[in-house]
Amino acid sequence: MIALRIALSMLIALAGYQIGSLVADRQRRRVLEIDAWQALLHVLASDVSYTALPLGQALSSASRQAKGLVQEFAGGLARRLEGHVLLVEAWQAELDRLRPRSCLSPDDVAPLLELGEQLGRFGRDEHRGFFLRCQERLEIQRRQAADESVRGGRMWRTLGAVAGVGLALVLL
Amino acid sequence: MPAEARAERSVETAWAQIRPYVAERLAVALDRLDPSAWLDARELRLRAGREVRLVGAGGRDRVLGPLVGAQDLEHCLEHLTGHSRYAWEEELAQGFLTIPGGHRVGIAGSWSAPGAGSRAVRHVAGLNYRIARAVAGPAAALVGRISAGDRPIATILVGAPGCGKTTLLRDLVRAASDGLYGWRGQQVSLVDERSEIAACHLGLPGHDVGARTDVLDGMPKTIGMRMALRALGPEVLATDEIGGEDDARAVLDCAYAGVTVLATAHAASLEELRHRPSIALLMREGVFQRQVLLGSQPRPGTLLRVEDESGRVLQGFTR
Repeated sequence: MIALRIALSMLIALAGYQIGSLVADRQRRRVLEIDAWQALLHVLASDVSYTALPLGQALSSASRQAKGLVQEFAGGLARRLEGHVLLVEAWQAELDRLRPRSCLSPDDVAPLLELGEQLGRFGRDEHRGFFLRCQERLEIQRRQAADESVRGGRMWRTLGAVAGVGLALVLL
Repeated sequence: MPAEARAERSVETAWAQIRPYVAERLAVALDRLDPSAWLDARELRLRAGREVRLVGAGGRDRVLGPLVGAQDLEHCLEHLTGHSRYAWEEELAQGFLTIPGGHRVGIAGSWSAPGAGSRAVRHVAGLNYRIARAVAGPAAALVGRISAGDRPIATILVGAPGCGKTTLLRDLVRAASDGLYGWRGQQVSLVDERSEIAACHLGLPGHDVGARTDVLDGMPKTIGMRMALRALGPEVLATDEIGGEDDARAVLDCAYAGVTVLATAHAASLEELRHRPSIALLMREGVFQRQVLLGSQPRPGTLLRVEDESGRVLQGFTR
């Protein structure tokens, strides 16, 4: 009986650790997602600034190099822009579509939403500035996310394990 | 298919071609318009704070329901530029865009001061969708008067705006290129500075300008004519709206190189044309063996007068 209780307690402690790891993993994926966004914006900025490629074509081309949800975003937006839609609406709709599966925080999404409102209506020089500012803001978010991922990851895993051990002690 | 039927069909499809480039709110309202209205339509005019107007033949316009808002015009421009105004900076700096089907959209509004680059549209106050009418066949009546055997001779088409010069030039280019109306097919270079003749969109002609035609779209005439001469080996070179001295000198270069030049120029009469110093130079050199005056009544493209290089009126074309 005691052996069973010990096994159950270990299982609970492990489950707590796993839950903590899941939360920590979300922070790690947030960093990767911001990295993917920055890579996409870098490609778009080059295509727009140097070759003046129309946004639909630039997105379609960039989607082939992008990864994960960002790839879905670029491809999906390029397809939406083929229809009779406005860029700002299509941009927001595509972000909204992916948000449930995204690890980005509202503060991460804010510069992207702002970028969607600026794109398409100005010249190449202005676009270079829009992309640059968005990348800079994302970089701040990325550093914060990376920091949280390291510190928070350790904290969540420890918290999960401690909570599991605590619960096991109560049960014993 | 007869030329007239073909022309009618092209106009019937005009709304279908223009619709993707009109703001959704206005497009929905225009969808309710009787399709026959488009048969006669020459222009769709959108002005901020005013009703939509559809201008028909002879300048008669028809007021349609919805008031156009500034935001509608911004949306139209977004559709016209494919959400990428930066990709059309040069065209916008010239004040117009060409859309598939050869329709040309003129822009009114406020523009930025020219900086290091070109001017940029800041606010759109009006858009004029000029409905292209690729009418095949108007050259047939003229070809007999501007031929030497199976090839055209250098000709200048003259008339006031809206009298069909560009339409006639386009058909002459097609005829020279495809070998129509008794001409043999020839290598044609078309220098289309304002994208009005071939109506290129993304580099491809929106109008049929013939199988042996090379188009230099958006290229300044003086550069384009010399470039074509050096690189494309044309037998016939066509260009629109010559006027300045540089244009005249480029035409002269082509003529001296043995290339047949087909051109247009704005003037109310042939006398007025000859009084321009630049054109006078071409006349003195006998570059244009035919000078054709066009009128817009009873319909654009009406031949009013054809003269040879010595100013002799050719029979049957005096009014």
